[in-house]
Amino acid sequence: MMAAYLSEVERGLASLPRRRRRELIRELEASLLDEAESAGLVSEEAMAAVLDGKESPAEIARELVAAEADTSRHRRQTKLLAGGAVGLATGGYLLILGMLLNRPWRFSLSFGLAMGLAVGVGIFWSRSRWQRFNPLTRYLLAMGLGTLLAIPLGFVLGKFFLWTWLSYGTFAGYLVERFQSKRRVLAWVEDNILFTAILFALSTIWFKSWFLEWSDWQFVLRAMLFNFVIQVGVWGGLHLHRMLDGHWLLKPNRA
Amino acid sequence: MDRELLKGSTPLLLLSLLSEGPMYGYQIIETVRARTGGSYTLKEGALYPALHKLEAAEFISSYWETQPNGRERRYYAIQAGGTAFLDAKKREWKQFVDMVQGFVGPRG
Repeated sequence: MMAAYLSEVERGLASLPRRRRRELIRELEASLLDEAESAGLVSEEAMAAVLDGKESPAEIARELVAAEADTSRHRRQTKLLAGGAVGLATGGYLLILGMLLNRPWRFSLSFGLAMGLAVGVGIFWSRSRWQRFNPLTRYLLAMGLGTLLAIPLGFVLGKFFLWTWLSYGTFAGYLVERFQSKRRVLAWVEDNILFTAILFALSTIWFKSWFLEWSDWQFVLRAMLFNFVIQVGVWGGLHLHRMLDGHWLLKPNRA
Repeated sequence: MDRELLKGSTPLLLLSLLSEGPMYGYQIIETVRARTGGSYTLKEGALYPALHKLEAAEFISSYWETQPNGRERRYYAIQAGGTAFLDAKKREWKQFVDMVQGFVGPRG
């Protein structure tokens, strides 16, 4: 009896990918079995009575399919917008800086696109897969993925691969996890100093010019300001993401 | 009671329940039924889409757990984002109730 009910629901879910369809059916089956068990139902008649009180298989399938489509549309839009905030902040800052220092705008655009689309969208998109893990694992995964997604950043200059820039992806991944809970203002400063120091250490290994960079205080300040822009971009992206999520969840269901 | 109003509040109702601890689908249905004195029954067609949307918004997460009898259940647990959202909405709700109370409540 229940198998027939579930198989009819599954037919209604035909438009969904097979894996997702199986997961939804598995969950519905578990719920029905829980109900039967809690009511002490053992006979087919009793199970039939439970199923009679349920929505029709077609109705339940329609609700599930509508929610899946709505979720998929919303996910695409929010991840793109949240990632866009990261790209806009970093690309915008570099554009202004570029105008002051007479640098080409193409650099700002490439950096903004790589930082926003690859790093921002990528991390926001993937984060749901690891959010149940313990904090250390979450940080490691976010930073690891951020580093990998930042590979396009290394090619932005177009002359050679600048591997030290992968650390911007690492930093963005770290910040996405860091901003999940409220942050003290001082923590922003601590993060900024720490990351700037790591970046300079990496640059020292790469360029072998420790003294030159650290003694140039304007260069240090610019690096810190840029890292602050990344912090604001990720923070803004996360807040935009949450605001859109909240609005979406509470809007009347059009299905 | 206006059922549409209740339906619109389902995400907050679910977050509020999950803020008490992880729950599985049928447990949520039963808890809602018990707390509303049986006046509101959350149907599967409303519950699971709402839970899946909350999960997509990263306000909750889910995991499967095998019971001693070998059966599996999918548990849902609130996440930091869900707690922050719920707290904000609770504050808004209190402000709203206080304001309306000033008009429709008893006058001293």
